[in-house]
Amino acid sequence: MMKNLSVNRDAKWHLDQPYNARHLLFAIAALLILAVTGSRMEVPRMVSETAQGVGYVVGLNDSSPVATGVKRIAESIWPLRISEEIEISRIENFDRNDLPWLSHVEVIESRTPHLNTETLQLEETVESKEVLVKPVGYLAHVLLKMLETLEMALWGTILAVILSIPLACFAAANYAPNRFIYNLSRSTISLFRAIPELVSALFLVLAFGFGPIAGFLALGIHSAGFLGKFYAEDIENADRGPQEALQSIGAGQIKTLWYGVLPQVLPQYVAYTLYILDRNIRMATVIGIVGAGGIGLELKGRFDMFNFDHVGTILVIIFLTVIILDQFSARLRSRLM
Amino acid sequence: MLRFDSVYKRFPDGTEAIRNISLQVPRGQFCVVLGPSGAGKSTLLRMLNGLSKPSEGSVYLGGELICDQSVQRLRKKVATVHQQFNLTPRMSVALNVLSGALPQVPHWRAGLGLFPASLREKACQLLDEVGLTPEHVSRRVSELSGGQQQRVGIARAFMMDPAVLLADEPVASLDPRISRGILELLHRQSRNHNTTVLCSLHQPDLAREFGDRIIAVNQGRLVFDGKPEQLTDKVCEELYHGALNHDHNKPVVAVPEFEPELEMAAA
Repeated sequence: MMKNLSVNRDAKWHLDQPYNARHLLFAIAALLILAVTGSRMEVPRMVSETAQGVGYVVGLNDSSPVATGVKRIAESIWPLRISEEIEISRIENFDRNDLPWLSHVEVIESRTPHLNTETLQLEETVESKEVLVKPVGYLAHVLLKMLETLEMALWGTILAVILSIPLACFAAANYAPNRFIYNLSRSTISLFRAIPELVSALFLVLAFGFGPIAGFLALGIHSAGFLGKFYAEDIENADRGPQEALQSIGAGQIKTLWYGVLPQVLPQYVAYTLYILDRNIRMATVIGIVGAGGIGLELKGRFDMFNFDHVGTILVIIFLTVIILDQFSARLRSRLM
Repeated sequence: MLRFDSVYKRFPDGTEAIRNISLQVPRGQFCVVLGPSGAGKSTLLRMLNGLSKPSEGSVYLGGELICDQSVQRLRKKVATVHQQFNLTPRMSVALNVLSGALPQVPHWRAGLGLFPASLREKACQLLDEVGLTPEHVSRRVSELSGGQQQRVGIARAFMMDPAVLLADEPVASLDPRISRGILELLHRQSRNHNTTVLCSLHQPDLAREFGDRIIAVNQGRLVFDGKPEQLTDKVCEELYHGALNHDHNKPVVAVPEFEPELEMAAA
């Protein structure tokens, strides 16, 4: 201590420039890394093609691959697919007198051109088929899938809370029964956090089959890693006073946690859990891509069939849901804190 | 009731908090521990509820040695009132008082917050005794004033009918007027419940007013032990200035023998 405070009275005053050779070396190294990784990431091509696309939009050049691609997608997405048509011949036990709600029967004529082998002319055959039209059928289907997605997120969060509470108690240095269990639960929490949902969902789909089980299990395991860490840190940082008061009368670990720690950290816990729920909903929308249920499964299927108008509807619904929930949970959290 | 036998306490960093203290406190006595900050008052008190273990020597409670095997059982006889109240914030006054009886309550009841009727009645009675009103019951403790919080702390301390009450600077974070009220309450409660009190204080005048007996520690040593009237202003001055000067060679204030008749009076 005292050594640091000793003053050399003979030292001359001088102020250095803020940079020296080390800073220069550091800057050169950073530039090198950026140059190498940038060229591997094809950043120059990205810049030139984006610029070309912008040029096309403002009318500076005639063609741009990027703009054409975007335009093609935009054209196929719009108009969004809201209705659903099903060929009546494909519906089993169809009853004309008892149509589903909001639906009607239409006759659609479809023309298929084909080559007449005798005249060598293209001829059109007109085929008419009856279809059952549900005006908001597809939208309803997507909304149902979205509901399933929300349920997956909810159960993923419930699973995360159930897993993380005991883990957090054992991973808090002041409540772990011994060093081994402390390290074990710490590393379990890290492991949970280290496995991305999409990866664990891939394997869970193999185990549980396609559907929401794999989805919410994957979400639950990953977010238990986050919640466990947050909870454990809160337990460690809680005010020691009340805990000491209860320990000193011999209340025991569990009761001390329940009465000395939990009331202190509960608002934080609720806020974390809401955040995780929010995050799980966003994640649940895409986790279906690997077959784990929810709206992602529908998205992947439609995308693979090039039904971009269906994809458009799905994306709009996801977008709206995430925005609404974001607002909702932000308000709820700010009220709790 | 309480006995310290040549107790030493050394912390891992080498500081000696307690040096060779031997002390007996009979049942029902209100014993004030005086001394400057860092003198070892808290450490002395914490040895009785097992939050601190003596490095050497032994501490007895009701004739039983406080050790690893007995500490959890003996703790139930010792209640503590803390300087910072140590109530659980965000929890209601009622639950804070009831939590003082947690060792008596089975886990499932504690977990659900279903305390037996007898304990709830006792909590109400104690809250009444410490001068709180029924409207305080469901309030959060963090909404109460410091003095009121300490009253809740005292109610909590008496939930298990403690044989010994440790008051670790119970009024150090309160203003002088409220301090007197809190000490009066502690004094009255311990008389009514026949509780032995070990109360550390900073203020010699309050010590003289409320203590049956005053002991003083300085730099981990017992430097004074006597009746309130023996604690003259001169003794106080020596006690506090002795600490400030860090004079190790200066002889400490004489330790008069503890007189038995006071022991009788207190019992």
